[in-house]
Amino acid sequence: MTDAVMGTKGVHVQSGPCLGAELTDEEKEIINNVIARAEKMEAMEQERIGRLVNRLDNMKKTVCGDGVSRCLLCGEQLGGAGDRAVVCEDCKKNMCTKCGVQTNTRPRSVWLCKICSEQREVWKRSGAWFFKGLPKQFLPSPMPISKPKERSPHQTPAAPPVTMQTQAPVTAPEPAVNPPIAPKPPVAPKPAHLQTQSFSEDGDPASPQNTPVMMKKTVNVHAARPVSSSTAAGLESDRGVYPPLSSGSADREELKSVSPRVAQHQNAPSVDDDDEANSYDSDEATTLGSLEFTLLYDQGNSSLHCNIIKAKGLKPMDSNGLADPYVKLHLLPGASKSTKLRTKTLRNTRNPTWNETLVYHGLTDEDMQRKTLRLSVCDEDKFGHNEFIGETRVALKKLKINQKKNFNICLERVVQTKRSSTAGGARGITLYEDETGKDGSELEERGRILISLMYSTQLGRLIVGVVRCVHLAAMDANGYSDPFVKICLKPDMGKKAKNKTQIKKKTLNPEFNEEFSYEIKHAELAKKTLDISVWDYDIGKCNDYIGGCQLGITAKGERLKHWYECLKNKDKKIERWHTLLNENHVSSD
Amino acid sequence: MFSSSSTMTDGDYDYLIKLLALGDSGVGKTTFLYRYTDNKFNPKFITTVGIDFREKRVVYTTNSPNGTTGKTFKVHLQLWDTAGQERFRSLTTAFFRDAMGFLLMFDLTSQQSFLNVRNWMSQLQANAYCENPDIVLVGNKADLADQREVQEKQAKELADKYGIPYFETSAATGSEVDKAVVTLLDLVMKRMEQCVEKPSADANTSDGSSKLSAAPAQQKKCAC
Repeated sequence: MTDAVMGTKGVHVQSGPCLGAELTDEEKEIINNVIARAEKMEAMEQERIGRLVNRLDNMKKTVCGDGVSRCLLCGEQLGGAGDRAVVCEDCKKNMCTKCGVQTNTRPRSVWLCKICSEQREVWKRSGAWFFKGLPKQFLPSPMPISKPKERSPHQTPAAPPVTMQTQAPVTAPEPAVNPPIAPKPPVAPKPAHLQTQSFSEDGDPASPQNTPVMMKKTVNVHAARPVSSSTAAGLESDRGVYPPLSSGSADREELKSVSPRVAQHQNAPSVDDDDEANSYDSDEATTLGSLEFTLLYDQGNSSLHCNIIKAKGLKPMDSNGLADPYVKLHLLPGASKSTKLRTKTLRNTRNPTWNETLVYHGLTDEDMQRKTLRLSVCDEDKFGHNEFIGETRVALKKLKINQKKNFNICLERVVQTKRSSTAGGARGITLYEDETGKDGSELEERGRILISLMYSTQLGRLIVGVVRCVHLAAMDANGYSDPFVKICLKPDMGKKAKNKTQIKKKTLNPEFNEEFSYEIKHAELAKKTLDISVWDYDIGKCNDYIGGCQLGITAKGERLKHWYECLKNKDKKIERWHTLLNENHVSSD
Repeated sequence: MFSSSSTMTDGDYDYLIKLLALGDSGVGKTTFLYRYTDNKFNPKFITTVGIDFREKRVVYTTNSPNGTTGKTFKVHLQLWDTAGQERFRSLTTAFFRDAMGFLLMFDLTSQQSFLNVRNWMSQLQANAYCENPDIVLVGNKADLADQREVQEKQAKELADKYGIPYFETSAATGSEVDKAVVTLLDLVMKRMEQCVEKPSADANTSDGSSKLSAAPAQQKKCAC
């Protein structure tokens, strides 16, 4: 046997990239050499199998009887007058004892006709028992040319590489072919196929040396097995080494039809995944529930009435599958704590009915244009943090003045990072540092204050009324403040210009109802500015500045309007709400 | 590389049986097969590159139930030799599928190679033609008694656990080498008979040997 190195072949190229990273060229050469030797062995094996199949075909041609009343093989009469009939275990046909073969397998001996006995031998000797069929297709055309040269060891002809290439790709896909094939009875389907083939063949019995005839029959026999032969034929046609025959084309089409099916099968799971994802999103949105409420802006009273009616289908938040829901209201933008309103908590229900009206006071027309109302539905837990269920928001400019509007809105999952407020956090020197750092940044609202102004011509005095404040920022750790109000008429008139209200303990919505008066001529009033500031009283420490505003000719918006109306309308009391801002302020205490 | 003799080139045989040797690197797979095919010993260790195979023509005799000598067949053995090194693993496991029987080898002087037998069994179950292929466990280098690390009892217990025959061989002396291969060939031939006869619904055709009777029971699980 020659050890000459064979050229690179299809299988080698395929295996090369897989192992190329690890193997050197020398090692690949050695491995390819071994594979080439194996292919030579395989070629010889295929030739031998061809001879076996050929012999079996010849036996089938010699059948004389019908297998019922006459011996299947020799055709002699069976029955009372003739020989004793025995039944073949495989094909179930009658035969005489001379034409049958008795096998001595336990637990009982069985008869086989000579054809079926030979059939079993072919299965054993060809390896079909192992490969679940005759896996390889043996082509006739290259053998007559390459066969004589192949037996001369001193030459390295071009034909053997072609032969090797013929066999090599067939070997590689073999593992892929075998698993899908279900285990089939090795004998039952074969006789029919072979019998069909044998009837279609005409000609003299071929001797083992008659190579072309034998090869031709081998091909025909293999064509009877569509699965393996179609794959092999398709592969050969794809390689383009041999012109595809008509049957080859048919096999090729069959092979192509299989591929789309496989691809389609592979696509199915991803489609299901997409559906599941969509379904999940939809379920989550639906589960949050919906909220029904009405809003009414009472312009005369500068108040917003929020009637929280009910909610439906809230998301279960407790282990019992229910929730303990309540609704929180906030006005955005602004200090969230100072504008917070809250309903009662209803226990163990996902469809609560509150019928509760919460009122925001001190909302101006300007606020109604800028503000947004946020309604959050939460679950109250006795031993843990309250949990967010869902929320919705309403731009207040949508509301018409003095008209009630109904809402029934689905809740959404909008969890925003709350801006960290100075409530309960910064105090003392830290507070002033923070405020210094905020130079140039947006002013933060700290609540609002209701102020009344009136110039009394009879007394020659400006009377300033501090009525109340709402939604003050919380400055103490307990979530409240101890607010009081300071007012000062500037430029400075000395001590008499400064006034302070009483301190209201632990509230963010204090009611002061105090009046202060300043003796001043009306003509000079136009040059003055009224400075208003709200403070949080702390025992033993500097008071915390909550917010402030100024009324005067240099003020803007609502504040300017209020001051101007006071100047023009003598002896008339005018009340206005003003927003408190966290402007920089020098501590006067 | 050793070339086969010219007598191997003819197709005058009844069966072509492919067997494969696997196990850790250095346990003696190549020298074992060389001893079996050529009855020679090469003490020098040359690591196998990827894959190789040797061939041998043997005569197989079936034992008929009544005790008389059965028919004789000429069997062409194709004995595949695999590299035990990890870097050839993907190449060698590709050849497992075509092998009809396996020689699972370890080194009696190397406890590690014995422990790795379990790993090789997993490789076999994953890559062979079926989940319970015919296997013979071989503990090689039995002649090095003074260096032995694996006791015969341990190996037998492992073989019994898997239900496979066990042999202690020596490629140096040739002891038990033929017997191990013949036992594996016998298992493969019996499985072949059963696969072909299965449609006739014959019962198991076990011989009197207790070792061999376990194999048919396992073979029933094979999806032939």
